[in-house]
Amino acid sequence: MTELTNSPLPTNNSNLLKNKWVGAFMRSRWYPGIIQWPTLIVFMFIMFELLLGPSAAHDNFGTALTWVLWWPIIPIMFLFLGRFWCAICPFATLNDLVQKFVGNNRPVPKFLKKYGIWIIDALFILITWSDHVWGVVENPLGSGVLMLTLTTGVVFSGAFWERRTFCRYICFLGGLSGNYARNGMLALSGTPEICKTCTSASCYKGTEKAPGCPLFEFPKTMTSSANCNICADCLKNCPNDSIQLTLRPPTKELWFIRKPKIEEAFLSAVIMGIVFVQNVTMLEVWGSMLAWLEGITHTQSYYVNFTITFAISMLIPIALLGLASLVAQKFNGESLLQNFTRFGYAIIALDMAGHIAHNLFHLLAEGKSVIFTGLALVGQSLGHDLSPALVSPEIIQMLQFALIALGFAGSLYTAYRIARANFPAEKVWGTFVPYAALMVVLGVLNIWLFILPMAMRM
Amino acid sequence: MLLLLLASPITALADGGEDEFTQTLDGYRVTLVFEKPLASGANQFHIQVSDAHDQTVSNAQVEVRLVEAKAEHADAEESTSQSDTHGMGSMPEAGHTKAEQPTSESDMHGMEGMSGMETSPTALPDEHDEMGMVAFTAGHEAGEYAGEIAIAGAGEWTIRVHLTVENHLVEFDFPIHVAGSQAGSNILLGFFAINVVILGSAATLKLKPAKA
Repeated sequence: MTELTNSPLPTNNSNLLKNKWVGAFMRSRWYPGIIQWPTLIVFMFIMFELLLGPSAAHDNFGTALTWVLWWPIIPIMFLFLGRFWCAICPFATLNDLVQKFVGNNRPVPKFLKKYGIWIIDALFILITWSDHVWGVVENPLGSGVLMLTLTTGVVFSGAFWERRTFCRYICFLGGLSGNYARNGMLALSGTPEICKTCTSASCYKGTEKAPGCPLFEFPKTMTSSANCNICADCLKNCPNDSIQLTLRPPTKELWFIRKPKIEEAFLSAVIMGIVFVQNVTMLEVWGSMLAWLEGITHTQSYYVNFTITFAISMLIPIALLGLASLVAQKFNGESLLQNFTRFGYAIIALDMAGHIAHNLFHLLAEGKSVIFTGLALVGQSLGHDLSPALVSPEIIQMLQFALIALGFAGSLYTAYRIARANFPAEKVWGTFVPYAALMVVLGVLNIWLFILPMAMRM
Repeated sequence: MLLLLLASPITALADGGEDEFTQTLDGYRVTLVFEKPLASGANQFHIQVSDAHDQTVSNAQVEVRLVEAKAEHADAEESTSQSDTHGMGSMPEAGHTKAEQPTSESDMHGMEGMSGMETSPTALPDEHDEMGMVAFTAGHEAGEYAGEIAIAGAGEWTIRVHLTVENHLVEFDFPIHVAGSQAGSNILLGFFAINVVILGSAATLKLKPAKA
């Protein structure tokens, strides 16, 4: 029972691998290749469309598949399947291919190990900023360039460094998925009783059956799903049948982070800022806000005015988290930085909810554009002036509110559990209340942003 | 690399690299001034409006839409055919006909009466429009109106400007040509070359025997 309540990766009887179909599929040599290879083919087609297809996002099938279908679905996938996307990601497949033929398999550079998450944080901020000032999403060529840049990074990493260095230490989506996977409902782990007697470390090193863990994890000591992509290599390699795949309540891992890291807490605050900026710039009032800002800065430069908006959006959640940590410091005696680091993880649930809710608008309000642009590829049309919406704006808004409510509840409860797991009973409420107030403020901000009318992506 | 590439977007230039288009019609001179060379994608530009006395017109309502040129021709043909059948005049299409042939000021004056009509919200149907009317807002200078249109891709297009002054609508059609772009192929080739260099270097290093 103690194991169940205090371990982020619980061992229990709900091992999905005991299901003969799931177990056999994941142990088979077809997994994950049977999903990986078609994904790579679709990705290549998307690249072709983005670079050589229609130049207007509205008409580009690649844009529709990437930003209207894939991007909104991916955070939902993280919630239900953890970091599984990373197992079938076309960039990862490309990395493995390059490694197979020309890989030098050098150790991961120390600077990447030390600053990996900071690099991911910086890349995430930079890419989001670039998208707004140069139009990556609304410009198929820009999206194509982004994909090609990532491809080049992956090729370089696969050519010189071992395993999936890029995915673990550089990929911005990997950083995002790592954070979200902690919140996810699927967890892979070793069985402690079995692993403690094992000396082979086959799961980490690899065997003739499968390579070692591509993300440098050791299931024997793994305490987080952040860097497990459920590729099942460890499952195939384990001589003791120790690996288990279990379902868990969302956010559970966040309650027991053993070694919280400032860069990961910072990333969760940054993601909230990115959700804000994505929402704000797609609001119909954005034009008026920009005009107001132009009046203050006395410049019409979008670079300047957007950068100011961007910085403010990033700073709001960071500052609010800092403020809550400052207040909590008075009650629990830990430093501001320790509190910031520990409780930053609590925002992840609301991050994820805000992210899904924002993209739900694009998926449900523009979803048919995938069909329209797909038909246009083969010279077909369903006619002009058809709505791309799958459901009414009222339903979308209701779903957005419901998601934010769930995210808020998740973050609130996580903050409480973190306080309970780390402080004596008399300090729990004093620590929890400032973070509860933080979640209320962030929740209300999100709700307010979703009340305002939003513009389309395509 | 990403920053450099994104910071210098490759655009498809309009024929001759023109960034201004002017027409005079019904006593009004309308000039389209593009802030950047005309390209596929979003194009910000402003419109200058002046009257027959060369005075700026600041109280106009300016709306713009983009029409695919071939679709517009189809409309014109269909309209002519219908007009013949029903024995009706073709006045509403007259403005289109003129606009497809940008002419000198004197030529335009000769057709003044044909394009002028009272504003009617139902007078603007066009099934082939790539986008709806975009209302341009007053710019920084008197008689200047600014806004943005998105051009879907290379080819022949018509920028249709609806100028409404004191309930009097004048329609201007500016035929434009957006040249095709090799940007995608060039970028693909550039990245391909970089990746070949990386793979070549890795293969060479891999083959190199380890030092004792």
